Amino acid sequence: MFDPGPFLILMRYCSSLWLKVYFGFLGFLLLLNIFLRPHEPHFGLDSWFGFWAVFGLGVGLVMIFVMKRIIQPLIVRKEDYYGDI
Amino acid sequence: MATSSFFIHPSVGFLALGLALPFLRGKEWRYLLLLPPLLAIFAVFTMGMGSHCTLNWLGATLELGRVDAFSLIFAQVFAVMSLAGMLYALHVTDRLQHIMASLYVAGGFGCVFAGDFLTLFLFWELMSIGSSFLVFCNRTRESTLAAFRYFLYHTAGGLLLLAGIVMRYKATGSFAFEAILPSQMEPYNWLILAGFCVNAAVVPLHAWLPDAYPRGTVTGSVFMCAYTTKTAVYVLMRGFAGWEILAVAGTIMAVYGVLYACIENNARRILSYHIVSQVGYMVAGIGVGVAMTINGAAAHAYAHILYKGLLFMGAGCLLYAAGTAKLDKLGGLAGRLPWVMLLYMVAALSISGMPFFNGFISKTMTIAGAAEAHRTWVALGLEIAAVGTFISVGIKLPYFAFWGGKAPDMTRELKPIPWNMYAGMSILAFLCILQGIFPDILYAYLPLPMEHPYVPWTFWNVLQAFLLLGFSGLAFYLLRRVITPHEGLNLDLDFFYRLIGRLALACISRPLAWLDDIWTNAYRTVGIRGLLALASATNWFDKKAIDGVVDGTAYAVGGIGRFGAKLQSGDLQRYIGMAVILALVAFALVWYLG
Repeated sequence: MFDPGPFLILMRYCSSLWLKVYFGFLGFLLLLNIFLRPHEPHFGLDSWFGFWAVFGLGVGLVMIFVMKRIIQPLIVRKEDYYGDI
Repeated sequence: MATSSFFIHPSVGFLALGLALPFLRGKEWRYLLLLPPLLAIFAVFTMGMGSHCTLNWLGATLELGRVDAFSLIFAQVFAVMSLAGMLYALHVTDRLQHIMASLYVAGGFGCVFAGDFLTLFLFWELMSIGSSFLVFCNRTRESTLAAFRYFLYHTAGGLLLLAGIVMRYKATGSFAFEAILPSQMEPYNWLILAGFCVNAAVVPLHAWLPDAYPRGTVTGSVFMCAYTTKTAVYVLMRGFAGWEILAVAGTIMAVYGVLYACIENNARRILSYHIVSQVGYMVAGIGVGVAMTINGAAAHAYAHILYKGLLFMGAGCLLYAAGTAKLDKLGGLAGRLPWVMLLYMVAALSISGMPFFNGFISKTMTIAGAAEAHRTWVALGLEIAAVGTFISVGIKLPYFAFWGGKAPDMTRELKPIPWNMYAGMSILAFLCILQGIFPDILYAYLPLPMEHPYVPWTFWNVLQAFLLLGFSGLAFYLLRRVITPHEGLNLDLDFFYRLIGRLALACISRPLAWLDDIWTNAYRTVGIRGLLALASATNWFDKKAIDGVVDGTAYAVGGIGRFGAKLQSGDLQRYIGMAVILALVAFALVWYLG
């Protein structure tokens, strides 16, 4: 059977190339968004250019930061806190 | 769709397998595991609409085979999932796991086809027992305790349901399981709703799920992630569509699940929190209650079972091969487990709602339906959950499991993954992509007619999905060092469950301990003194009465013995004299008494 393992290992060392492709793709999406907007926006604001890009980025940043840096330190305990393990 | 009266209950094969497995010998029995799923698939695609298998029991009419558009779509995906799940578990030699999985799946089918509350309750409890054992069968201290907690919790949920059913019967005189209107807010309907919500893992009743599912067996958790919550979604859809509280609860679930998944370290616990989140989409859709959101909930349940089963299979492969599912202990495995990674990514992109995968055609329907019904906050909450889903299941989990910024791990000892595990995963991956590209394969089975058909494949929908997910990925990239998982236990609401458990225990044990103290004191003051007096009396009686009789008898026998010895002098004349005296005495007695 074909083993894609070596190919995946090789690709790991091309991370900067993948990053360029990724940022290029994001730029292309924004470019498309200039011309393509929803006919029937769900929330009103989502007919604006870049709304979903800002929404995805903003929600993602806030979610990660708040949960990891503010909430988790308050609720994390050692693994065997309940004595179950 | 078949319109005949032909009906085979899909549970029959699984029940027969569960009963037969303990008695089968040899090794070939494993291949029998595939027969009930194949029979179930055949049954589901050939059964006719209508009511089947009705019987009278204790004066109540039980309907075991209600076949309509609602039950059929769920039964169909249950059947497909049972085949993939059994194939995935084919290498397992522990029969108890297979028996319990069979009973569990049989329970799921039984609930879906139940036309009355009594039948529903019986199969509901069968599921509870089967799934508890699927956790227990991991046979560690951790899993045993988790299975016990799971069973206790589901028993409590089952009792809520039973109380509601009995009270409803008392009020209406019927066990029929029909739609309950939002205006019918009687206490018994609330109890039934609460019982359903326990199994649907509605926040705050959800914490049993991330407690138990990560501790189940590798193959058992695959079954569990598919049936319990989706059976609950089915009964909520049939019974409580349009209940506003479900729209709110579903939106909270969708967001709550992804927030916890964001900070979890254990791959299977991340996926467990995502069950809470994804079931939230379905519950919200049911709560909004319009045709598009209910269809969206049904479509999402179908898609969810396929990709969530595949996700648990992927995480199970990691656990099976590497011996751990903790992300901080994994990484650099993409080259060693490439097919696991690729198959996992199909599921990860599906759950994220990426175009070309089935989450895209199901999730967007629920969100669009909520927005069209002017439920802006519901739709917005589900979009927020979509961002968190992609970040935690679509990127975080595979990144830290297969790469994690670590060099390829070529030294770790990995257990070879059996062919059947790959086969089970491949079936589900194929269906995830097939439904994503050809949504009508799934939409053809949606239960309600809609004013206008939903079309997921529009340029805007695709662009919107790519924008949302693409820039969510950018957020991960920017904060990848912050989101790095670490070992630790994140407190959830089960902290309060345990607290309630301890309080309940205290409410029972404290009064009992108090009574025990009183009894001990009473025993000390009254009982022991009484016993001492009794002991003294017994001692006196023993000495004076028992000893007197026994000793007296002994002394008498001794005296007689000594007297007899003295008489035995050996003198013949004395013997004759004594014999004459004895004869005279005997003669005198006979003469006197005669």
